[in-house]
Amino acid sequence: MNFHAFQQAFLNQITQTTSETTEIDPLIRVLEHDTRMTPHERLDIYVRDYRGRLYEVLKEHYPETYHYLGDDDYLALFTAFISACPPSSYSLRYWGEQLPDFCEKTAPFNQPELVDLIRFEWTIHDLYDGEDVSVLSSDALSQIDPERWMDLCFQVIPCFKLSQAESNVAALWQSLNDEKPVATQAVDTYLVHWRKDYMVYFRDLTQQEWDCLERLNEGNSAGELCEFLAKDIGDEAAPQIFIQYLQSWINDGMLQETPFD
Amino acid sequence: MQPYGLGFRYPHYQYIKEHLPDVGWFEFITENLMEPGGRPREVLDSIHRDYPVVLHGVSLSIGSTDPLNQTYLSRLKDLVDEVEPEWISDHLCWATVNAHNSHGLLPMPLTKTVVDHLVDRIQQVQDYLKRPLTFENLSNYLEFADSDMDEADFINEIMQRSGASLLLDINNVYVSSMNLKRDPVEFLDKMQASHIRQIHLAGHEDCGSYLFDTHGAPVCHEVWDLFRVACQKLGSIPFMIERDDNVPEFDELMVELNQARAIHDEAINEQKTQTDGLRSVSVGAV
Ligand SMILES: [Fe+2]
Repeated sequence: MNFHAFQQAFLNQITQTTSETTEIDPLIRVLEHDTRMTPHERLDIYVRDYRGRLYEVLKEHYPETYHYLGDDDYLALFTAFISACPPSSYSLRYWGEQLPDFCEKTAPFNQPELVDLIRFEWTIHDLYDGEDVSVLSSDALSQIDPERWMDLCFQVIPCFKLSQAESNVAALWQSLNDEKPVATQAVDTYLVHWRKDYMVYFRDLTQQEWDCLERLNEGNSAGELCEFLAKDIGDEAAPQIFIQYLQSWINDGMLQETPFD
Repeated sequence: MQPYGLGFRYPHYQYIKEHLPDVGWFEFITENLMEPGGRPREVLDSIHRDYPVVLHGVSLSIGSTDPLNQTYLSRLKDLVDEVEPEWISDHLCWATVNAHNSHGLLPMPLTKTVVDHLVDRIQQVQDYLKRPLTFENLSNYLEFADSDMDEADFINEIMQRSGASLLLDINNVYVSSMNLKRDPVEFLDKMQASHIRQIHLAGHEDCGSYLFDTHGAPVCHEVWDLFRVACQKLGSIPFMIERDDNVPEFDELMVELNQARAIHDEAINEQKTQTDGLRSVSVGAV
């Protein structure tokens, strides 16, 4: 057996992704004068190590999903996921990325509130170590000639994400985190997640504010965003509401410093 | 740089920044730092302002027969070029085959073919990173029927031919020796001193029929004894305490680190006394 074939056989055995489980035993030397363990029992140490490591990593990346499901259901989810999506990236940071999609299409995990919670937790994990940038300050904005205001395009920070859900996921996550149970509810939800000072935050938004942020993120100028708002609330109220939104996005640190040229 | 170091663990961050404890250097886990920003990088930079740092990886998979992972290597190069650690290490193992990554530290048959494979891969990575690498010996739970070298010869030859150095994990030496019924002192005896760059000290769990490397317990007295033997043989080599599970308060780790320092210093002093003794004997003879 060449070295590559050996590695395949060994990995198949310890991850048990195929049914070929007999091949590897003869490769392991039976230690003389040592009756403590058979070759198979020695291999089992690696099997437990593989599963144990991944179990802990997934739990670390989805702590409230684990609390929500409890030991048995979480183990069932882990077992199904590890065999459907064994890790391929060099970093376990990314392994759980496929869990939301996996749940969405796999019974019995395809319940909307569970899928929402899993997506929500992945976003928190994913924004944790993204690129750092300087954020836009109100002061920097006040330096700009008011004549130019309507042409300005704002840019969100790299650690920013808009999402939608079909349940009260933010309240559910918070209640699990605080260990105070709350009932799940089917409701259209609009969310923003972002990182500020090394913490990942989230906020429930109105659909109007969410739409506005989405357009800003797509490159719409302040003027275009006011026009968009005007369709909803009229020409007079639009600039005022836009300024309120903008002020809160700046205070929350969602926008990055831009030269505005 | 003082030789006594610690594996950096995040729960100790505040304590370290407030007290600036007497630690020679900190070892960080490479893969926790490969994303461009956020808390992990900020913490590293902040510790690095006060202490030398070294990077210790788990995902290079140097022994794999899959092609080297270019994404991993380029991120590693960016990190290393930016941080400028004292040295960088990973494990003498493999983890990946056909792009399935076990994230384990998997063993290899100890043969000439595998030595050739490792030397070739190590040289490719060293050329790419433009710096030498350090590799850690594993905790072993089995050995392969194909093996035709012992572990010390296997490691010595790889280091000799690749120009890499060894991170000698003394707990791994002990765990492997007990699991495979070997003499750990004989292993230390055979290791070529000039190849050793760093020492790890850690704890393990006694599972009855075997020992399991957990980094979750204090260093046991057998490992302290082996550390003494290693210091007597090697002289002053950077050493550190590694703890990943059941991470105790910082003070408790400092007690272990101080115990290591005492053993290290005593062995170095003994060596010095012997050398001075020899010198006076030879002067007397003249
Ligand atoms: Fe180690």
